[in-house]
Amino acid sequence: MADVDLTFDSLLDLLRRLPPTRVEENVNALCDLAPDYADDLLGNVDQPLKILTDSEKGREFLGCDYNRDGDSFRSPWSNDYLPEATGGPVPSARLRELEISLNAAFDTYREMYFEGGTSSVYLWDLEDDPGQGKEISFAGVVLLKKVLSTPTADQPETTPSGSWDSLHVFECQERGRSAKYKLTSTVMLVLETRTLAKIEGKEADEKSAGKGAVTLSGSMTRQAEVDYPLTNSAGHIPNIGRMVEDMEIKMRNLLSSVYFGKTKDVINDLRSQSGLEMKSKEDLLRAELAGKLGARKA
Amino acid sequence: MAELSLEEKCKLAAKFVEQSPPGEINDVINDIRAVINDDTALMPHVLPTLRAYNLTQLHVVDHPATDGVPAHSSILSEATVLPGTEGDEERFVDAEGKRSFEFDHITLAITDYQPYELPEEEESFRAALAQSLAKYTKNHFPSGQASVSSSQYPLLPSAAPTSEPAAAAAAVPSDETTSAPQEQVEPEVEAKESKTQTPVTDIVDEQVNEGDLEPAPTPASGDLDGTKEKDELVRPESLDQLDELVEEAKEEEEKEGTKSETAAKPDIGEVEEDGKEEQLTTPKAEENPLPAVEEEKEVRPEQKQQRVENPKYTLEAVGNKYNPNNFWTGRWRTRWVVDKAAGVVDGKINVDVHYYEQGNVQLATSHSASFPLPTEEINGQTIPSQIVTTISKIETAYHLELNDVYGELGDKAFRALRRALPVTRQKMDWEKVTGYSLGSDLTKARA
Repeated sequence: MADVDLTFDSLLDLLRRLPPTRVEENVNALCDLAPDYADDLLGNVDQPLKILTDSEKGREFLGCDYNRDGDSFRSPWSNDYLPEATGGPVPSARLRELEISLNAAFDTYREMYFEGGTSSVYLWDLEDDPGQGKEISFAGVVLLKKVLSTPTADQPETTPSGSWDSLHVFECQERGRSAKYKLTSTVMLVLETRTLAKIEGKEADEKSAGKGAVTLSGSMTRQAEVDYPLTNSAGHIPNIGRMVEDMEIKMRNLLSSVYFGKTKDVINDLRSQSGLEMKSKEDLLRAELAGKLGARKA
Repeated sequence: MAELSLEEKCKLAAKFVEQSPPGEINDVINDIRAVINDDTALMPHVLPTLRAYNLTQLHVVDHPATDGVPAHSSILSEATVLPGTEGDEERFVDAEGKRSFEFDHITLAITDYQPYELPEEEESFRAALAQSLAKYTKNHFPSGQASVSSSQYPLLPSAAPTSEPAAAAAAVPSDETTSAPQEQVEPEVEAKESKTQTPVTDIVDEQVNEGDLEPAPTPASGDLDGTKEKDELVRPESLDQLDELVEEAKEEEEKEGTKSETAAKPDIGEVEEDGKEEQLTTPKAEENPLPAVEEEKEVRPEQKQQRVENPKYTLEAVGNKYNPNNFWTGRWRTRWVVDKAAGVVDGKINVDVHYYEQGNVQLATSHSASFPLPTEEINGQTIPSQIVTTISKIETAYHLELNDVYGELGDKAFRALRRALPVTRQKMDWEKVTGYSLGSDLTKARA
């Protein structure tokens, strides 16, 4: 069994290293390499959410491994598997009622934070015989996705494009007058733009050119556990809402610091823009100035 | 779906090598070894993709002090392949050490140093470029390595004096294989012909980028899909330099050697690890080829000294930083090709950064630029020096643009995807959420 775990660790380690932009292709290849782990891989590795259409309800919804049955996905709006009815699992009546309310609440949330995009919430029962006991346990996933399309012809060439995909998977255990929630959140973020740097001035001629592309892509995952009071079944809506909102705010800050801070720092570690000679001179000068200023203040 | 055969799995797994982030090649290879769990079957497939990776990623080779040559480093790339060598015979040029060597991509072992000498004209231009580039690299890359290669053929060893007919005659019969230099021309010619229609502008792309898509030719990989293409893709770079009439003869020369200057020590974590791990399996027994090489030398005088009319000069530099303890690695690669015939210098810059603490975030950039080749000294500044100055200016402009891109992506694109807070500047009031008009209504209202 230890051997088995080693293989799975290696599969996950590979996906932690290979380019996030190629995750779908790579997961498929790894499933071919290690068919015994295909289900575990698909269940453990987050892939970009699929945007699907519920034409009956006239709305888009999101597809992931949690609402998939074969090649069909359950729509949160109609509760039907689309495009082909598969007779796949649906939540118990009580849970479906909560699912409808959560979808409405997160639709508002989506509009307020994303000003566009698509959201979907899916719940599933964790009990064999749901609806019998007073206290229930269930699980669910909140999905949010927004895409900035690639620039059109009338926009500047360097207009950025990108996409945000978030998955918040949670488990909930009701306990008397409170409920315990365990949350695992993943955000996949892709940002792309073009570069134009070239030589200007006397070294240039009409053929001088510069053209390039920049892609910042990836995913980050965080976990949290919270206990919230719960007076009635509708109390899950503010509880789950607050939990997801707090986590997304935290992760947005984290993404911002890693995407725009960390990777930029590494570039400036790789190459010194002003030159190392210049930099050491500047450092000297700065130290000298600081010394003089210090002396004046004193 | 039928399960893949072991052979198919090995091929599929080996392709992951080309996707490895900077400094993590050993981690990736060890992962696929654990998944395949059969090194004997796997490694022959890894070898060609690893070679392609090393050449594309400008792998830095450290040369210990030997034969009076002080310790220094050189770069592996398509441009540093010794012209006329390929497959099992492939050799790389260490221009600073004025020698060529064999390289085992799996064990990282360097073997069989042989002298390498360019004609005076090419060497002086190359050395001047190398000196300027080394200075630039030292100033801008805290752990950088630079190299300048000329596609000119090296001088034939001046060894064998007039007695060579006899020696050659003696050698040839026993030595069908070493007369191969001439035969080798043929496949190359085919490759060239199939490529002649390719526009000259492709050259840089191929050199810099696409290398990682093609597995290299190795006996073990002969059946790999990409093998043939690789050959063809590599050679065209030299094609355009050739005068059409003479091209055949010259084809071989194209892949001339490179040089590496600069003594700056790159981060070599990856090298060391590999070395330790695998050294056992690489006995120095490779010295055996020596006798054969001697024979070859004697035969060579039969060959005529080959020349390329307008050899190209390839300037390459790589800066690596690996910090696995803090979960990040990075690489800045740059390659500029001086084409005297076309009067242009074409370049490509690639920056790759990987950050993987509780996640997997990667920056990948690719930027091409070109500028006219300077034609005369200006204010006492030589042409090689002007070339490197312009390269430095473009790379700095690009570096500045990258910093601006961060502002653009962070301020505009990131905010356009998801706001930090709603317009109300307050978090949602979830208790009243049913009191809001629902999102769908808001959407309609906006429309």
